[in-house]
Amino acid sequence: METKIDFTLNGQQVSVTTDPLRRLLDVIREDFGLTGTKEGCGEGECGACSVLKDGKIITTCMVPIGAVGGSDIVTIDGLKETEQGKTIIEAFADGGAVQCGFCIPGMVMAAEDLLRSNPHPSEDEIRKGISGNICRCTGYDLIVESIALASERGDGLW
Amino acid sequence: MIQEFLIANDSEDALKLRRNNPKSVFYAGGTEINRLNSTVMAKTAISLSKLHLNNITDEGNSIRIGSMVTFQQLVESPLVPQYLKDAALYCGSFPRRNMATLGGNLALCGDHSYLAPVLLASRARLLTANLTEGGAYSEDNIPIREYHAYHSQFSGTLLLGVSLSKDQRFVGSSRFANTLESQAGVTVGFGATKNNEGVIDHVRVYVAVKGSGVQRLSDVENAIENGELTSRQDVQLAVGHAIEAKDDFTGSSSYKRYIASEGIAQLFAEFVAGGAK
Repeated sequence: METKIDFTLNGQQVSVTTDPLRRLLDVIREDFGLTGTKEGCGEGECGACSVLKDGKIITTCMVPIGAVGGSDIVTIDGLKETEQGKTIIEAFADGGAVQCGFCIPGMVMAAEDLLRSNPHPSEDEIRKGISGNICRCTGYDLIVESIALASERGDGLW
Repeated sequence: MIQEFLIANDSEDALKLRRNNPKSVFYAGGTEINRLNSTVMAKTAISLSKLHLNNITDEGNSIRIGSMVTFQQLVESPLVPQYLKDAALYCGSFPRRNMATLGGNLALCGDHSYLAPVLLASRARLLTANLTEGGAYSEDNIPIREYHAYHSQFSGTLLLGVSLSKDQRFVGSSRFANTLESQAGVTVGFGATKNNEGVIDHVRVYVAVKGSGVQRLSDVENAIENGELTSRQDVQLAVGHAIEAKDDFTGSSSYKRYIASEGIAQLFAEFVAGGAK
């Protein structure tokens, strides 16, 4: 049975009439065409599909759209238009954090979530901040360094 | 497999939906229902998101934690005791901690539960809601050990929250898994009090063993209280004999026995050395 679900997506009030059991990930990608959010494991382990829901990072492959009504969702496609998003993305590029790139949208969302609550994280805090995101290419060091670079460049943004 | 998603307006509505849909489950954070190889079998999910059960409040002699409080809220709240923060941090992923709830983890009382052993060891009390046979709404306050011991009888019960006493008591837990993301082979919880004369009382020993459920080791508890088990080695041997364990992908039965007994023995030694925590 289809249900009408209203929520905020990247700052815009949106409405979707669909099966409430569809995954938020599929609705974001298929109904709204926001394909920056990636599907990795599909079971909430890898973090590639991370978005911010009401300011908290979650994995969209684990959330039915029926549980999203009234929420504020920010995806990588929304974040990349903000100064904070641009700062993180540029730091990732300049810091050589991107290899295959598949995990990066989730990593950027995790970095944004971390820097919002802690604008000047230590290396240990950065590693804890991306603990829900798996990268199989880089070994994490360049990602950690790039988040530190974003923190330095974006001083005052968060 | 979930085929229907309903959103309850309040606690009474949630219980009525649950009663009217026999193959239904309450839906809290969804991390267990939605995960691969989930053991939750139901046709209807009843969302509790509108029930306002996501607050942590100081009640004077106790702390009340709503059942929809997430693991990350537990970690961040200054009101939550350290032993519960430690247990919540066993869930290593931020996104998952933002989604998983105290009530969901406790209601399943699964063999890889993050929180059940430590909450059982803490002698928490549970705030529950039910419908009588006639359909009248009622709330209750029950010991957590009762909820665990008669778990199947509480299948229609809604967990509203957990009440933690502020009384001096040692409580600790340990979790043993291949990685922070893996299901644990063993999670242990130990709690006890010691008065000024050194008398040990109210001992609770719980062990969640993958494949064998959450077990209360009453014989070990009694032996510690009676002074029959006084050393770390005594406790380790007794726990190793008392628990049930099976071979599976998280470890052999002998490994689980060893690691569970070592975990409880370490906590017992900390308790003896430090008293209240």
